Amino acid sequence: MQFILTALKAESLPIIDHFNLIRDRTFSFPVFGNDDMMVVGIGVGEAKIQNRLEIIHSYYRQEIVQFINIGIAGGNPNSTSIGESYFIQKINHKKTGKTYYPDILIRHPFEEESIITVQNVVKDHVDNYPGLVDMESAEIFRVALRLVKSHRLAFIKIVSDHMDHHSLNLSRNDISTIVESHIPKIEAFMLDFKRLKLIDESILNTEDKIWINNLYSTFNLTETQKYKITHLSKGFRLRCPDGALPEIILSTKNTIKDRNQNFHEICDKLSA
Amino acid sequence: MKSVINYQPNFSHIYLEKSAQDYPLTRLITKKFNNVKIVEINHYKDFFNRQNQDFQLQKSSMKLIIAKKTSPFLYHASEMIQEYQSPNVFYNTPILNCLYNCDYCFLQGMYPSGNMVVFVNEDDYFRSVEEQLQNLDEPSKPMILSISYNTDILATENIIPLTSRWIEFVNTLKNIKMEIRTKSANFYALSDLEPSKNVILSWSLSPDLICKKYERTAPSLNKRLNAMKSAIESGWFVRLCIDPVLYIKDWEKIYSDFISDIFNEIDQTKLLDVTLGVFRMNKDYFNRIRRRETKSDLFYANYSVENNIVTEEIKKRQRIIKMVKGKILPFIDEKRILIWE
Repeated sequence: MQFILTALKAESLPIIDHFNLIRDRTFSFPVFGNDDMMVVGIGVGEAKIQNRLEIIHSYYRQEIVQFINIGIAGGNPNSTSIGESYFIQKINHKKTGKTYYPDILIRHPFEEESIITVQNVVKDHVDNYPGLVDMESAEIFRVALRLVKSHRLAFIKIVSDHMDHHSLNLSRNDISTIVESHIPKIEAFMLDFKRLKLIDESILNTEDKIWINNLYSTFNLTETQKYKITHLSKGFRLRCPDGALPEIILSTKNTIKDRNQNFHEICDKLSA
Repeated sequence: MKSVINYQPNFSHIYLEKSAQDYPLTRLITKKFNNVKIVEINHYKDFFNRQNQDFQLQKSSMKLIIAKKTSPFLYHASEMIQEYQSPNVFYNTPILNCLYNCDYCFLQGMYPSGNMVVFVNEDDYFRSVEEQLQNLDEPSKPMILSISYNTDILATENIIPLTSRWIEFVNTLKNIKMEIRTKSANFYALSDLEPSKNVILSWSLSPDLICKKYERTAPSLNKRLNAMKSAIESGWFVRLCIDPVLYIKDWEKIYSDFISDIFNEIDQTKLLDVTLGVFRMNKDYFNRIRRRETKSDLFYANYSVENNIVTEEIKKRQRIIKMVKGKILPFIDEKRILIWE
């Protein structure tokens, strides 16, 4: 599942429209989705991010989850262009001084830039901000990294203003238009990013896990024996990616001696 | 059909520590990479030691971190190496992590990140070796120094020319043997240097089947063998490492044929020695790798744990070593076979 995290309704609307996403009323905050992706409204600033990410993640704990933050940002006039989209390579949290580095493992169609997350809108002292400025990235990174591995996070920002008086005049429509113009690039990235999930697939499939649980209950195995059989099953599955795990036909007497003998025979079958 | 992942090329980004910016080696390395993105970092650990990284995934698109190392610059050798019983055995870490990604490598359990760190303050490393040479436990015996314990330093010579710099440095010293262990085919990068009596070039060779299955990112057996032969013919001290010997299906025939083939190719009289060992790994590293669910079957086999080391069970281990040693003995006298037992 890919979660698109947006702060403003105006940022999320063109994405919701483009992907034909439907409001999910399970959640008390804005969530729009389909089978593959969800747009999650996280609000402006840091306040609601932890709560919302934890709730949404808890619903999809069994799935391989990716978080992509998409939104507008202020940009330094000397290093960024209004309307340009950037892939974030470094996030600095102005308040704590902490710096976060998203993994950049796959190719993407964006320029790259660093971003500083601030507490309040920046309207002056622009020289203190060499790249981009927003109000959410650092908190998203901090919270999401507790939930998923670093390679499942990505940050895409579109420069809406140069942190001057123009930023105050941006309408919702302006913001939606800016985001909408980058949707082809964003969609291409999302598709490539999704492929990374293949790497995260576990070695054992659902049938393998059922097979192990059946052995565990049928032969009264101990937790330690189950643990070892799970590892040997992974070895078997890697050597033989196709087909079922070996058939086990053993007596099911319940003495400890029988159990241990069964265990060793299962191990031998898996190691063969 | 499975989708292809569109990875960034290796070293698409250089993460440059502020304190490392003004070193000559930094300038040399950054000059070699024209189109990479350089990201400034405060300390290499801010990037390298991040939480919740995926070592194996990062190996598919490694980033280079340029940093300045702080003390210590030299470490006593681990019990995992064959010469552990000798006095004065040390290693250092000019580079953390390796260009290659062999399935059995302990680095994936040692480091949180698959990215590479190169430390550019070479002079601090050199000074530590000079100081240690003055304070050896047994000064009558040479200091043995490995500079490739945590990396394949020769493999990166074209972009980070540390091997040649280290050779030139130890040429100025006495009572030292520096080992450079490699799977690289990159011997030509040293072709301008005269063979050094203070340097041992050690090639790790494995049967072709093992190279293809478990050492996929390293050069082929043929390429390594050719590099090794060139080094022998040029007059360098060359060590052959058959380590780890892996207990795989048909291992006896595979290793038997492999050893015959190797000694048919090289002039064994000019070989310094041979090292042998089975798969072994610090238990904590091994368990960490397993927890990350690495996709190599080597980590899901039956091993025993002895003195906090995960390895083949002793009888199996002795059988493996006895067989391999037996195959080598017709070519090399026993004194020149170093074994991890």
